[in-house]
Amino acid sequence: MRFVNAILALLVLGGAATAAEIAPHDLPGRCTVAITAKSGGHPFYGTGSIISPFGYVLTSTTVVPPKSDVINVVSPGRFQLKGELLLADEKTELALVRILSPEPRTFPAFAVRDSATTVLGEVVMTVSNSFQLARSDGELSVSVGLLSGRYKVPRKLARQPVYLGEVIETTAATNPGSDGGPLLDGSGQLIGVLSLNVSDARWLGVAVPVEIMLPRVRQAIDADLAKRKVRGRRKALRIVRKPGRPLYPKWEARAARFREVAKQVAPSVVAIKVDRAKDDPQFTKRVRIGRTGHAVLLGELLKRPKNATATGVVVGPDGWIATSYFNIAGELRSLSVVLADGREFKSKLVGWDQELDLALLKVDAADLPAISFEPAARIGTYVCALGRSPAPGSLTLTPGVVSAVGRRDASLLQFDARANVGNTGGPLIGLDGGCLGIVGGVTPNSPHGQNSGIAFAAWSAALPKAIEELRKGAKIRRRPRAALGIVAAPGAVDLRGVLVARVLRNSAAAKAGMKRNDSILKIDGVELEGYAQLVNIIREKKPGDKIQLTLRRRSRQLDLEITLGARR
Amino acid sequence: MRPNTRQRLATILILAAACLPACRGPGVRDDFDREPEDLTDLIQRVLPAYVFVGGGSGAIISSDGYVITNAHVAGQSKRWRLRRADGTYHSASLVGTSPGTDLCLLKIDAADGLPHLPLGDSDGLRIGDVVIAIGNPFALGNIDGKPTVTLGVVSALHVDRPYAYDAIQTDTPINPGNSGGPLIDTEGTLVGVNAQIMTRFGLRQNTGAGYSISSNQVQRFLPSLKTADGGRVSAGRIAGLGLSGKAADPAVVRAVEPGSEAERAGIKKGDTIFAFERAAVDTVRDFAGALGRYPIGTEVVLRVRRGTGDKTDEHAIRIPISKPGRAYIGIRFTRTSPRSTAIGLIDPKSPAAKAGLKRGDVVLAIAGKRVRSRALYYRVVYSLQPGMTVPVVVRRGRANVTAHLHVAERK
Repeated sequence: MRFVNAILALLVLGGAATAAEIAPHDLPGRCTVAITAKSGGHPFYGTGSIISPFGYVLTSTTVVPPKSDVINVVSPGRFQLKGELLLADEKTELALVRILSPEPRTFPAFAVRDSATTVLGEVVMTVSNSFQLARSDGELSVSVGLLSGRYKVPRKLARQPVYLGEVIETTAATNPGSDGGPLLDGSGQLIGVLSLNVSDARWLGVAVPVEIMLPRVRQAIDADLAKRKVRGRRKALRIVRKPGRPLYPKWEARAARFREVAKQVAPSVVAIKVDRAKDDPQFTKRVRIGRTGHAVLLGELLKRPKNATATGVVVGPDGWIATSYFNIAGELRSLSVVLADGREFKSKLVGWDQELDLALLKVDAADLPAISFEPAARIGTYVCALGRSPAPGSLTLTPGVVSAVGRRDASLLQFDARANVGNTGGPLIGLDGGCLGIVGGVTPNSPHGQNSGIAFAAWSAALPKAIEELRKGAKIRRRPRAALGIVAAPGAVDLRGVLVARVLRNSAAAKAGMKRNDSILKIDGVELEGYAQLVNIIREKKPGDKIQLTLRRRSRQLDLEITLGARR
Repeated sequence: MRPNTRQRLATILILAAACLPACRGPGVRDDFDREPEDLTDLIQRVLPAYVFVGGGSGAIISSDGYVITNAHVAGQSKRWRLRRADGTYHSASLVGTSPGTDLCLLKIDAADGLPHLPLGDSDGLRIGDVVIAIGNPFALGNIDGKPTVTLGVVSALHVDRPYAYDAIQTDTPINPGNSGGPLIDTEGTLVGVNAQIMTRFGLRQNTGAGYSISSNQVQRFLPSLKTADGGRVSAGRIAGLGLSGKAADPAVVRAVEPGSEAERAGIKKGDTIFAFERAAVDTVRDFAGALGRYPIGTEVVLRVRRGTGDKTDEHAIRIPISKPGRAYIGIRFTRTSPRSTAIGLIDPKSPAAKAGLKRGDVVLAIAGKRVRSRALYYRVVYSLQPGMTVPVVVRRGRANVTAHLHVAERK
């Protein structure tokens, strides 16, 4: 960044520890560096991985672009040194930097693992300078997740040149500034270089597999060492073919069970090819977001691709496929289902339920492996969302825990796995292989976007009955919701009732003459205990229904009759 | 990553310190993974201690009803109604609030035998440890009364940020509404109070980088909060101690005010501060961060290095944290043009006069920050501490002149 001359001026500590002296769980942080660079007068920042005790750093061309003239390599709390760019290839995002150390030193370095040996559902971690936090608070950020998918990213969504091709996806946190940083396996071995690119359906962090870069990296390091007449070239890189001693054994154990479950359930998880003529109007309206208040299309906010591969799940052996209504909303040209074994079928939309965010499709196939529903769910139960990745339709596995049971009239489960367009419509599976729900609950009014760690699934407790209805061709629209039009100050009163913090313009409440600081004491003669109760009573009403409110305004009590409006 | 304006803004707001080997938890431990196989029982055990506080969250931390939350959640009102996950309501009063460190203590009226979360030792956490957040993200629980439970790991420790000192960084999904809610370790003790998140695309939602104020920070502020009687508690400063230079420079004492606490305690000009209680101090920024960890009225031990070359020795200095003083510069802007930052009047014995500023000088920058308006000038001056020496750039005629100004205390 331009205004930063003072990246943490940390003292260069003498005598670097060798890898052997560093505790295993400290190693990932020790081998990761924050990088800033200047190229063509523009500032760049990101992360890098030390891959050689001779101080070679693997990073991305989005961090150190070709022709970078200033490169700073910072290991927070340990050293801040200059670097020299040895190799840059924008096609694979490969950038190789040598740390220029004034005195000879040995750097702790990652072992590099051939990422072709990795499997879906393996424990992985990211260590990064996300949001350039290493500069402001001197700490790298560690996040642990699973290897959640391997697929091709065909389209570039970043403004800079990025790698297109097969990537490794992770559920561990990646953000601006993570690019160039390491994707590590559960034992802290390097398997990928984090990229700025993402898949527009998945919107999770991806890494360029390290084996794509390895041949050129090895060549460049060899040439550089030969040029500088350094001995011990054989020690320059440590390449391994299997995971080492796990840093988080329990994560590993759980991941192993996830993998087992995924393998068992995968035949029921199908890809749905959606060809849409026109999107549903509710996803094409513009909404204002964030503090900047700029308007975006809602569909864009929810990362909803126009024509995409969505996920579905087999719920009946004779060709019944369930998915989320979100996936098939809009005017459709055609729908086809690709089964786990690769067979593709034209399919028919039989029924849908906007309330549950559920849709049912039928294909002409028999003896399909149907999922089994498991309605028992407890908060904190480990779950994983299974999906089909965009292009080849390979399986994706996204882990989490159940966050809340029975939201929205006991029809939804809430969980913290990263839900996205790529797994919406797929099953939410517990560690015993039962299906706890179908990922969905996406509404145009979702206050959350996706990937916030707040996700919903139509709960299995409600599913068998709902699917039965849909089989008969039910098409259930969202019930029009009544609205009073106030913003309450929940909790900010020391009495029974609800304090009105704001009355919305042109709302039912405004028309009836409600004012700010009124306290609602009773609704239809029922004494109000709190805000939640008021919301629940109004949810039961229809627009146009009349309610009687008893208010307290200053010290007076007054009664009002209000005709409820409709919620947008 | 090429920074764009929005990201730049996001990082500008962060003014924080690096933390340090001295305060990192114990090094190697054999139990790399302390997480239990099944979390559901643990969660059932801790859920009763969670409370909804307005649109945010809180946690009961004692059986007699003390509730810890964020100042930005509950600091604005004296009386609160809290709701527990089982639907029980409690009335509570504000006991003390610390807006600068974003902590707030409430007390449930006439409470006894409440389920509560014990405060854990956050210094015992390690990067990679599993942590659990309970909260009310996006006010989802305001309708059905159900809190949200999310899981993640510790991403970084002992982070000092504005309004979140000695914070735990975590990738646990926390979102608006999680504020004030507990971060729990796998033994069911409270290790943090969730407070801030980093955001992207202008969206107020989790990105995998969130901050939780550590339980040890809570422990340090708790005695002051308990005796605040509904008032404010603040982090303070060390009276009479002047550090200067850039945030990334070593913390060298540039000035010690005569007769001040700093002088009485024995701090000398030229000392290099290298530790602040358990936190190592490498830079001025580290020192500023460590100041955020102690409320006014507590005593701390500073470790300084004195002397040059071979004759360096180390001293431990015990010194109280005192109330921040207000900076005094001693200039008044011209009355003739109300928008300009031209100096109209200088108090003859003021720091401005001593630094050689003259009537008619136009103030361009102070303490390294450009001041294009009077409002900006006052904002910068407000952030200065007495005892600091700061550069002031003024335009005098056609030339730019830099003066070094020793900030005094406004009496």
